[in-house]
Amino acid sequence: MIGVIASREWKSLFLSPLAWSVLGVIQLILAWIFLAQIDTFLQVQSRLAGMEGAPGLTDLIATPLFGAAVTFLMLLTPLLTMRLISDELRNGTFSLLLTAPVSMTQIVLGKYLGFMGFIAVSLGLTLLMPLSLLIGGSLDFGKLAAALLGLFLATASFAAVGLFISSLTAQPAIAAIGTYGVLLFFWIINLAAETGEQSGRLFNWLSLQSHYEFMMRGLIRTSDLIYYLLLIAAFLLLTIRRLDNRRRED
Amino acid sequence: MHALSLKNLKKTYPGGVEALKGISLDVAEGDFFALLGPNGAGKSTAIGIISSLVNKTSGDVKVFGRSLEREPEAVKRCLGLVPQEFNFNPFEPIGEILVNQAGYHGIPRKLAWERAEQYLNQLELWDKRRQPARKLSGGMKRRLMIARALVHRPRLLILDEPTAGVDIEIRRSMWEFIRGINREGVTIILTTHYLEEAENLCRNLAIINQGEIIEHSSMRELLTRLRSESFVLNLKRPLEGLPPHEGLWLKLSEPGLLEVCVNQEQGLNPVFDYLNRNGIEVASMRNKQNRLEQLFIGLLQRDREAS
Repeated sequence: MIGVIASREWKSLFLSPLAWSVLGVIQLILAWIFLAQIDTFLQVQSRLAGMEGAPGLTDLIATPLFGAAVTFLMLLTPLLTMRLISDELRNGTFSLLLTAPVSMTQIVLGKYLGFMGFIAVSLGLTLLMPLSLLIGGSLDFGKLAAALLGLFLATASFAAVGLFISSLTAQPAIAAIGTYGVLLFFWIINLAAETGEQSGRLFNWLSLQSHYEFMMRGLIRTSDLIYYLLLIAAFLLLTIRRLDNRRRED
Repeated sequence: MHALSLKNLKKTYPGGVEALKGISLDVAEGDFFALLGPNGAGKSTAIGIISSLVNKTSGDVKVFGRSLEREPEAVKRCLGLVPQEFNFNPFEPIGEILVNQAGYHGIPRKLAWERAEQYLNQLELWDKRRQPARKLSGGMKRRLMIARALVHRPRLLILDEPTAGVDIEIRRSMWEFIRGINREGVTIILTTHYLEEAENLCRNLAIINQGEIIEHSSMRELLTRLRSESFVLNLKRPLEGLPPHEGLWLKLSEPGLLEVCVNQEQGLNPVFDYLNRNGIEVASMRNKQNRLEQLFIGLLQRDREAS
């Protein structure tokens, strides 16, 4: 049943003009960054040729591209997640799911996976850019995979936060603004970590940015994976609880 | 076995509003049942609880013998709901709307399309299956909602104002379609503000007011309780005044319009005898008020006075 809900969500995203616009804008900006990185690489290529252990195409083009992609996805994901539940609450279509023989967990997971399917398409298109470099060069696939995993997990956590905020209101615009607020909070929380105290280390651990950076460098740490999985699971659970409570209040 | 059984169902909203004060109700399998009441009486809350949209405060809901509390998914499989408001994705093609709804009930896509074709054909929407829902007219949207509620073949269909805002021709064709569904064995619960609709379609009814059931009987039994009936007669020639009419309740509301009120024992014959005696010719005649409407208003007034 989760598959049916996910498939419907995935398809309905592609029916929405907003989703197409967001997809187009992401690809356009990333393509521009990609071309700019290639241009930079071509300028320093002759100097790099003489260096031992010089950074390659992955370090100079793919990783910065994925780094930029995280920022753009953080800015654009709330525009898509805002309608996941709040739009359905506003249109009354959420009641179709409530009256169907599916549990709240199936509804939330279905919606989440459907949305991640859309994100996977977007990331797949982004991945084609560095892969096109194989025509004239070589890539470090390990580093590329780590960076892609980091990008995917970071976006998955943005989506989980967005889904939860979307369940709080029947106003999509408020859901988008709320998601921006929470994501920015989790993004910059490590600014308070400069003190070096115990609490500083906690803030640093809580920051979305600090976990993602290691993966961009090709380092996959268990603690980073756990952080993202915990964050995603926590917000999905909160969404399930919130929707169950909403039915009680109605 | 009852299609629906409510036992002492209560709902108190946060803030203390008591929407349902312990209603009990049985709807027989195969019945066409009207759930009537004024706005804010608790009908929507009762329907919301039965269809799992609203959580009850206490009481028991059973659908075909299965408890909503213990077997919610089995209950949801038996149930189809046509809500009052249009609720579909306006950008989604109407064929997909039905197939997705079937998917939520675990029906494979191929079978779902077969059923979608059947119901969309019956409701004259098949030609529009590829059109987004937003392009449909109001009447078509209402029919789409009915088709969607039937696609998983529910045994109990709840229709909440299914013909609101629909023109009379489409309304009558929808009545025929719904009657056909009921003849096939589907139990139907109808809420409507068109009491003529309830009188025409339903065999049994309950009237709910201020969270309590004030009437629960068969339509026939209720209508026999109507002591008097009012008619409006269109006269062939306008009259300036009425000849003496002792023992009859007659009122000339306009020179060509005569209002008549007769009680059940009396009947209409004395009225027509009087009209013949006085050479008053009648062009046409109609009920002044729908019979159920008359009873409905009377019951509500009595309930208000009692409380």
